Amino acid sequence: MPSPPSLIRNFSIIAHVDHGKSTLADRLLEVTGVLSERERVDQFLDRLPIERERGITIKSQTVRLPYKAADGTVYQLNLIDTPGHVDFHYEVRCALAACEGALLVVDATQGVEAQTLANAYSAIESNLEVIPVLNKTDLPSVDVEKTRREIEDVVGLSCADALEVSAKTGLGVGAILEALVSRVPSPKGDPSGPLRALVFDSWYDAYRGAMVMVRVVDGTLRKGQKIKMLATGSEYEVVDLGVMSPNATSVSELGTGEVGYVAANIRSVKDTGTGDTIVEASKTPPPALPGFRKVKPMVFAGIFPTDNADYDALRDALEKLHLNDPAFAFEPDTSEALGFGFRCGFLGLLHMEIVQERLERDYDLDLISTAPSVMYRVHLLDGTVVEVENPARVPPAHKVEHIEEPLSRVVIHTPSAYVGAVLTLCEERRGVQKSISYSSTDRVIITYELPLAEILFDFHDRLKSVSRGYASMDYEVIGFGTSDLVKIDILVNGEPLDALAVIVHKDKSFTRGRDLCVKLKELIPRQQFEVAVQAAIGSRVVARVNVKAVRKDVIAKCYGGDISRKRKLLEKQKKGKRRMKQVGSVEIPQDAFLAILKVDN
Amino acid sequence: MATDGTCTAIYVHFPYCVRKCSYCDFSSRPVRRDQVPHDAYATAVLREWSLRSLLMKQPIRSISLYFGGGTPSLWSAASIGRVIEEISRSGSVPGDAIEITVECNPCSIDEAGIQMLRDVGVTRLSVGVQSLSAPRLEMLGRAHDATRALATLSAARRAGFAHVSADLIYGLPGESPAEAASEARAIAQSGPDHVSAYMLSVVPSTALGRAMRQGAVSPVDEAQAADSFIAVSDALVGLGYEHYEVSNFARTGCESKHNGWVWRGGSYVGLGAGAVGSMQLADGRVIRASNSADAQGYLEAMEACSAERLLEAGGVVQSLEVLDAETRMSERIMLGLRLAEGVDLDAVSAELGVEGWTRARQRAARELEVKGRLVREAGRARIPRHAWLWENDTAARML
Repeated sequence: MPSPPSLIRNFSIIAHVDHGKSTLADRLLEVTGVLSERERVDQFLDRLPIERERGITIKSQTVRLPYKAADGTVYQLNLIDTPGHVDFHYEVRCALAACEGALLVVDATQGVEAQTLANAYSAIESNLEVIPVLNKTDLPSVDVEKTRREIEDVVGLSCADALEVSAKTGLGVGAILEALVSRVPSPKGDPSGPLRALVFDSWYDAYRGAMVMVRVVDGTLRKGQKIKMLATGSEYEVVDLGVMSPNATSVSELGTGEVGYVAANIRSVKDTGTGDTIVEASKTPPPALPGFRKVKPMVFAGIFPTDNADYDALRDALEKLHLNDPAFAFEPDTSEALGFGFRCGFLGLLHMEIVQERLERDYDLDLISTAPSVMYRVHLLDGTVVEVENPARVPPAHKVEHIEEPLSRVVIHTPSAYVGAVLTLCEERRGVQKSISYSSTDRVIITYELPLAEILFDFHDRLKSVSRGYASMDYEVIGFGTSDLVKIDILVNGEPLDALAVIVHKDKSFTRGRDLCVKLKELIPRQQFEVAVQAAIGSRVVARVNVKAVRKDVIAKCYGGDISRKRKLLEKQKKGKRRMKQVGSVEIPQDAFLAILKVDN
Repeated sequence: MATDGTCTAIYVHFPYCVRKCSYCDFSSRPVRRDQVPHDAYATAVLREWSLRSLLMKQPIRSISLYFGGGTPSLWSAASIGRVIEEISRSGSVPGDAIEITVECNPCSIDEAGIQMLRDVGVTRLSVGVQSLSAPRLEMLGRAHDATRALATLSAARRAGFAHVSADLIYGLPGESPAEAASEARAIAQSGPDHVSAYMLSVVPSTALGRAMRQGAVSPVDEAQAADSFIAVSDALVGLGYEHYEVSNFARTGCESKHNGWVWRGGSYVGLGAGAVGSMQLADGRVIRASNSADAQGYLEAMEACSAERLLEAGGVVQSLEVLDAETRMSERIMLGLRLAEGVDLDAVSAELGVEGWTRARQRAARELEVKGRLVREAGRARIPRHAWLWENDTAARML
């Protein structure tokens, strides 16, 4: 039987990366008895090994926690776990829309960071009751008072009732559960109204097809019911309903305010847009829940197999990944240099790295990835506009009227000592300053408008390095703007290597071209023959370097005592060759295709 | 090649030198000639031999005995004789004479000494000529001059050695390919039937490596060294030698039997401080054992060593590696590609029971063939002489 809405509390945990979100989730599972000590694997909710390794949550996982409160009543707490990274803004918002409250976890040894702010604002905009939780209070370097002040001044949340906890030791976790019951509102909604359920997550199950995670907003969702997805219009029959606690447990219905999964023989995750509304199929549909939009990839890169024979294996792997992650897009692509592969679209850089890593790790593929690029809107002289997300495909300059590129708003939090360095970096990256303010006496919030392409060029690493790791950032794409852009072609032994073409701002084209050549000289190993690398803008060569030929690569002596040593040396040398792509007669390592990211300014 | 049989080569390392050459990173220890523990060292080596024999597949038949170092010509002929006598007693291949080589430094041996080595049964002398130019000999830290080195070669001939080999080092800073070739020719004219010509490789930890870092010696010019490789090869091949291994040349039938055996995957026992061996144990496993380079420690440890101790890394044996079939396949390819004859992967595959021409190797071989870096003849792969210059890269791709 569903619980009455008055006994349900739906909440999520939001935090900056590494502030202790997953540890707190584990502790809540443990304290409510959902997970026994014995079953506990650290960070249970992060199921994918890659998530555990990187310490981030990629797909949200939701869990029901039965909790007997101090007043003796048993409440149904639904913890809705949100992705913790900037690339997954939209998914975070959908998950927050399924909640009435949020725990804002702030590492009290670090204070408010860029994603603390971004996530807190999302929660406040979604009208959630936000409960500040000061974490890591067991550490000697903790500064609770300063963190409270930052939350009040920067986020604008009262910290009068902030909770002081240590997710690691479990200190204060009981108080969190009580606060959820007393402070988070119970779900509103009409139990007798027509069914409306919000889809906030989906995944692919090899046996049951696409599964969706929903929050019932009005009415009741029942097994056997005929349902309709409003955005796609497709209809299904509910085959199974259930809740995660933490393992899947079937239920016959989900009532208003409840959260659970739906299996309905849905073929692909593509048909289950996050943010979509589920209604009863036979009835006149009630209005859709607000907020649905189709997620559009912002970052693009080519992915090619190192060995052309692996093309089919790569396609299969991409299709499987896509089942679980419809936000990532791919289509077949050919490169003169790299042969047959795919052009892939991602939500952001991290999303891209995760997909590439999964392809290599889970599917054991050797891949060559090209440098990430944004989508350009190219206005041609004949009045047409083409969208191009592959620099190699940008039409020749004499046909182009102007080019627009995506712009983003970047919010950077930094200790005041690094303000100068951060501003210099933003200015170098064609930024336009929007605001700068102190969040406390020694922390500054800087807002800039930057071309998205500049963020892709290693911006985050550069930000970390100019601030000794202390600055944090968050960005959001805000639209397109016209820029004076040109294409740099890279020629290897006279032949243009399409996969190395880049689009850069005209003012920087000469230095970028030269720096790129110098970097390529470093990255392309010496070969049997001399290799000439040139950068050209149109037909004009702007830089040239030569990678000298190897004249000798042979060990003179190889007697009994040298054999093991030489074998190990060769094994190492062989490993280095795994990620090389033969382009014409030249072998080019994977690193070289990402050279543009490593060109220092 | 009968690696699963019981034939073996034996390498005896003599770790003492009067002075250390500037380029040498081999295990050796400078001592005064009168401090060399001639007899004690022979006793220790023979003790190790008797223990190792217990571990090996029986019956053991030796095909060669090689005294390397260090400077084995510092060792008294009597002690060398003792080692030869006892080891050859344990058996050799019937009807096939065992090859017994001693490496000689021209400074440490005279005509009488050479004759004594002949008398105790040595069949082959390998003479460290290294260079014929005074400044280059000095750069190499050699105490002899060209005349003495060449005289040693002719003395060896006169003493009646069946085989005499000369070592040459080329590709030194400032040496032109023409100079390297003319040294090779001059050495050949003194009558050795075998020449080992090594391109100088500078190990950072050696005296020469330090001198180069400090700028006292100019660095080696890679292109010149590569051209010298070809020039030396052309010179010796022109004089009728076969370039049968990357760094080795021989008149027909005069290859080093010992090294040829090792390069074709044969088992070899290493005896002495700093020696390395690769042998088949009685249980069929193939191990590679490296002895610790500490000569004094070796002498002491051998007084109370057991056969079991030789199967543990840590004491006398510094490192121990069990070679599985795949590893042995890799080594056979690596060593075989250094030989003019190459390596027959089908034959090695049949012997070791692992795949030779895998899909990856076939693909690598195709790519290398296009570049002229490899030749395939039936199951055999070999590197043409001029392409040996990229041998590391080729072997790495074929591993």
